[in-house]
Amino acid sequence: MMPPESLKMRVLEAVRQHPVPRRTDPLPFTIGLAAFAAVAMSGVLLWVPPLFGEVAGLAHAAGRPASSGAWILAGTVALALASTWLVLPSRRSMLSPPRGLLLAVGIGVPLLVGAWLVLWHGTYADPFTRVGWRCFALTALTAPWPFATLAYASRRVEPRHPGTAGAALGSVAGAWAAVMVELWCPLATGSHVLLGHVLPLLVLALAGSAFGVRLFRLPRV
Amino acid sequence: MQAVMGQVALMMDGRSDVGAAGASRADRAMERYACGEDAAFGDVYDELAPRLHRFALRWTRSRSAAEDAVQQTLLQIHAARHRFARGAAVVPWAYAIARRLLIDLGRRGVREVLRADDVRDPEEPSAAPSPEEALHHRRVAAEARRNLASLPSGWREAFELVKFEGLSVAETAEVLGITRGMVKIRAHRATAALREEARRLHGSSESTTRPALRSPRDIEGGTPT
Repeated sequence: MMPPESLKMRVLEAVRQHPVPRRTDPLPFTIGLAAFAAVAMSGVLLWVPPLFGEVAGLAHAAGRPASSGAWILAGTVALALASTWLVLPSRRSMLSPPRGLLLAVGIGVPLLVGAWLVLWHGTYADPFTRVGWRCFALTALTAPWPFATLAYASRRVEPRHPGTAGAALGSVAGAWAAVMVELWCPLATGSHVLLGHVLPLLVLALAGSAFGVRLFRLPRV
Repeated sequence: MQAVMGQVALMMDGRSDVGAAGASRADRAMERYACGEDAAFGDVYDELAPRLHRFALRWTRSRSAAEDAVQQTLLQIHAARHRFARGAAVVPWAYAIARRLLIDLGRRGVREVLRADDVRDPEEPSAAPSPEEALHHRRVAAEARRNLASLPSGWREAFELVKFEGLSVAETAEVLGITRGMVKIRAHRATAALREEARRLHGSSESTTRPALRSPRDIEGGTPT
């Protein structure tokens, strides 16, 4: 059964009455946004720690052996890159990856970030002890910038599971935030990692889910 | 409902009418529209509307609700014109939007009413050659419709998209947001359940007494995936 001709007239008339601009290339703005995010994240790392009475920048992690720091950083960067590649929609699709994959990223990334850090616990003596609230706050302040970039890069209508897509993006943004925070934090104790590095990523996943429902759901037309 | 019975018959023969005709034309039309050719939306409509209308009609069993869903889907596509990714496939995306709109429609209570057993399938022919045949057709159609409707929603959706809408496994996976393997499993389970019921139906139509229908869950002995 074919749709009636009147339906076509209605649809075309509605389209005529509410014109939408043609497609523009999102890449230049995405790159600009990513560069801005990197600068903003660095700014957080430089200007926020003194507010807690801590040393700013890389100097704070001086007590950690350079090789350990490099390995920790390399692993987290690899995780952030891989998870970014997994959650962004492919070029030939308007839809996000399968829900299972998004869920795996949303839950798995925080756990992997924590596991990777704890793996290095014991390979060097922690220079000092902290509960982890500073790292929590730094992660929370650093993550919105990559989240904004990722949300813009995947600015597609997601009619199936916008909340899950947002949660995955929140976790990935958290992974990029973790890269920056691990440049600053030299600690790898289990309790510190759990509170300061894993918990904020889980919170970011939840926040991303809430944002995702608003950002990616079908708009009212 | 003839389509259901025809599909079950095809499955019994080990064949399927899966095809992707129109998909590439729809993609090209959408690409032209996204690039700024306003008139191309008419082509997008021509390629998508009949498929979406059939899909929505099967889902809602109401012409007005189906037309509303098609209109909303196409307007959503229009609204996302500036965001349409270069080279993206428009068909799975359109089906995913339509499915979401239909789910929302169902949540407002429309689907429950429209899926009631006494609502006639719009694709069903209005006249039958004889009263006996008409009665038989109606019984068979009602049984098939009940069997399809009683499948777990995940199985039914995968089955309908692959077998009735002619989407590929990859496209169906995109529409449903699941993996290709899961699509195959769900469609296979739905097929097995419907095939079993069709066999039972065929057997019972030759005998005078017909046993009560079992649900596909009983047949499979499993849980929805």
